[in-house]
Amino acid sequence: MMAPEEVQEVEEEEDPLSFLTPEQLQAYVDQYKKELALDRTKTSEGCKVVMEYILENMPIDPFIIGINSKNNPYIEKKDCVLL
Amino acid sequence: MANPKAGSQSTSIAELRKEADQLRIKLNEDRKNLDDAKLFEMGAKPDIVNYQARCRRILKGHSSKVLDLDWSLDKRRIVSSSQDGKVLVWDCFAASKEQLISLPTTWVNACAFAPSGCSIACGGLDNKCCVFPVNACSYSNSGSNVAGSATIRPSGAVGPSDVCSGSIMQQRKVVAMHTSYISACSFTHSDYQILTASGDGSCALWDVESSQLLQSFHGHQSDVMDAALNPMETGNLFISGGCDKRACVWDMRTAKCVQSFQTHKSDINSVRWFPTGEAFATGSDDATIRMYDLRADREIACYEKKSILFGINSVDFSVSGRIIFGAYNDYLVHVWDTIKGTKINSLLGHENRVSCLKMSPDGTAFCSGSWDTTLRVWA
Repeated sequence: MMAPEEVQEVEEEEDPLSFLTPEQLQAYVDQYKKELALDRTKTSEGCKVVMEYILENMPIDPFIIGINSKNNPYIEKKDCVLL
Repeated sequence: MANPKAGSQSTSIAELRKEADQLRIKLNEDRKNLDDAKLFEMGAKPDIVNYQARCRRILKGHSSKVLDLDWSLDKRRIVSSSQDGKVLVWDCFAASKEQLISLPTTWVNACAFAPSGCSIACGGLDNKCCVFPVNACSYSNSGSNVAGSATIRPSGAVGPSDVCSGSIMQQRKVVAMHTSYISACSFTHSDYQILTASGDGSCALWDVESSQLLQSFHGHQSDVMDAALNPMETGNLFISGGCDKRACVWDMRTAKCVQSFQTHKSDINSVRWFPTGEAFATGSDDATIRMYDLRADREIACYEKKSILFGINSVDFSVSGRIIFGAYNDYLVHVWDTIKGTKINSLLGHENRVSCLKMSPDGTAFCSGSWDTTLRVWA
């Protein structure tokens, strides 16, 4: 008797289009056509804008510069007691 | 004999599927051809950040899971909504309750503060989004167990004469009606329009005064879990994310989906704009946070770690965008470095899933809400 073959489980990515009606499929086709026509920039351009904004605004970001009681109402002010 | 109509219909379905597949492949190719940089490589140069936020306030008052929260623009009030049907308005500085609204339904999935701070919107399993005035309470003498609003006295006690039986429900304005649950709601840049996202697969824009539907947005193939309006004053775009794993960018004027992204492996629970209004982040059940850039029209970053297996319910950026905070199902808030892609630290405090998270308008603190019934303010 032959040993049963080991079944290899291949993780299949669910096809998002598998359960749609013709009308829904047509909507997808139209949408893809529209998105293909989009004027897109290089990834480096997009990342550059993100980086620039971040680096420019880090000096005013309370979570970067550290939060002290003077600027932040959530932190209890420590009163100095003269002994 | 085979039904000829059925035959031709199945051919046309097959043809459409082939066309859709080919278009999708071409779209991915076009996007890939312009993919000439990686954000995390560009982020290798700047210094690391390592500020450890601490829990500064714990807001206790809900008797069941906290599902959503929103800050008022005055940076000190928060509205929160819960599975127990209660909507609470808090003063965060004092960690006290200012107003309680008891809704006749449970699972209030969404709540939002109006820009003026004078009203709040909320909705959930009742399929409606309603607007209530803030801190309006007229004297009423029946004091029964009907849904009402109570003003909480400074001592914390709620007297029977303060409970307005039914009168707050009379002041309630039903603005939006969907055919399934409301998952998210927010005011647009004024008190007079509300954007809703629903389990019925659509988003909609409503006029508050007339409760009229101004525009509806269809395109998601499943429940829409979150929607967020572009922070730019002149912005006409909003983003949505849903259980179909898609994040969509919509033009409010034309009601068309102008861009869509499908790289998540599971439901998207949260969408948040990056401060420039030209990129946004999404949090998903697939345990990743991803960032998409509108102009590059692709995913530019994915925040994940092998040891982090639990889904994300909510994400938000710090003021500069350098930090992303994620509210996870493993009870933690994980904190990520946006440009390096690394996890900065994890905030422990909640005793159950963290369901919602929002940065305050001036970035000095963020608030998280959890299934453990509390909200925590971190700074």
